[in-house]
Amino acid sequence: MSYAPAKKSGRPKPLGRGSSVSFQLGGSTVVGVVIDDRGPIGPGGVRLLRVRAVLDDLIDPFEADVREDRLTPIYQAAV
Amino acid sequence: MPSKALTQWRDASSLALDEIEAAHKKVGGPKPGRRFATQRLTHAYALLLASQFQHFCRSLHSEAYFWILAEQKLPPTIETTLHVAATTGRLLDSKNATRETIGRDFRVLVLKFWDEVGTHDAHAKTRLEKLDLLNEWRNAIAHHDFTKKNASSERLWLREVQEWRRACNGLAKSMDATVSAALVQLVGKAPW
Repeated sequence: MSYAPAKKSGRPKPLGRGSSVSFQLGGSTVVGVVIDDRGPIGPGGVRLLRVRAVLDDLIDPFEADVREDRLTPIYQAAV
Repeated sequence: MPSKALTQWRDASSLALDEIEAAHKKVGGPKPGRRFATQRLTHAYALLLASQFQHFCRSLHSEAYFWILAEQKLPPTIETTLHVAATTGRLLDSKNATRETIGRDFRVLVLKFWDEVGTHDAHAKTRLEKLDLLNEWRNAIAHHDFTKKNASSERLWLREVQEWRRACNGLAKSMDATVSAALVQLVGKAPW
């Protein structure tokens, strides 16, 4: 019996809760943590993730839904 | 075609609710004379129903905004900034899905949200009254505070939660139709 080598998929691995990510917001790069998976409810079935982001020490962290494909992983937690 | 949020509600959420109802029937059994554990399961069922309905409301809200913005073909950075503006500080992310929180979060899309839902659903008023009851019980159970007008003892019947679930099903369908109609008016094409 022979086994075919696993094909490498071009699709990036999904980001799990606890992943550190960065994204562009209002002309700046913001760093945050994925706190929830909202599911594939975005346009074309893209996953939306709830992200908690810190802007600076003076402003409380904020939480928002962001398209997964707009996030750059820094540390990737498993789904 | 329904929104993805409504499909999720009808599939994954419904499955989770069915599982707890099946567990209830297993513990309770078909014969008369209730087991004490069924009361805990009825409480858990009510909590799960409230949380799943909140999840549906949030999803419908996000789906609507992400769709509107995708239709505008904006540069990604601008689009993301507007996604954040639309979904930050939303009441449905921190509070129960009550008629107030839902109405407030959706009012930018549909000014008088519940009036509009009423035009799609002749039973909206009675369904909202059931949603009020569900939330009153949700708080009583979660905070172990059975001093509310409609939740003055721990006794909750399975049939009451089943009735609330039917009300949530009806509201989910009419909320979906209301938001879809609002997006058609705003963007000029059907979102789903």
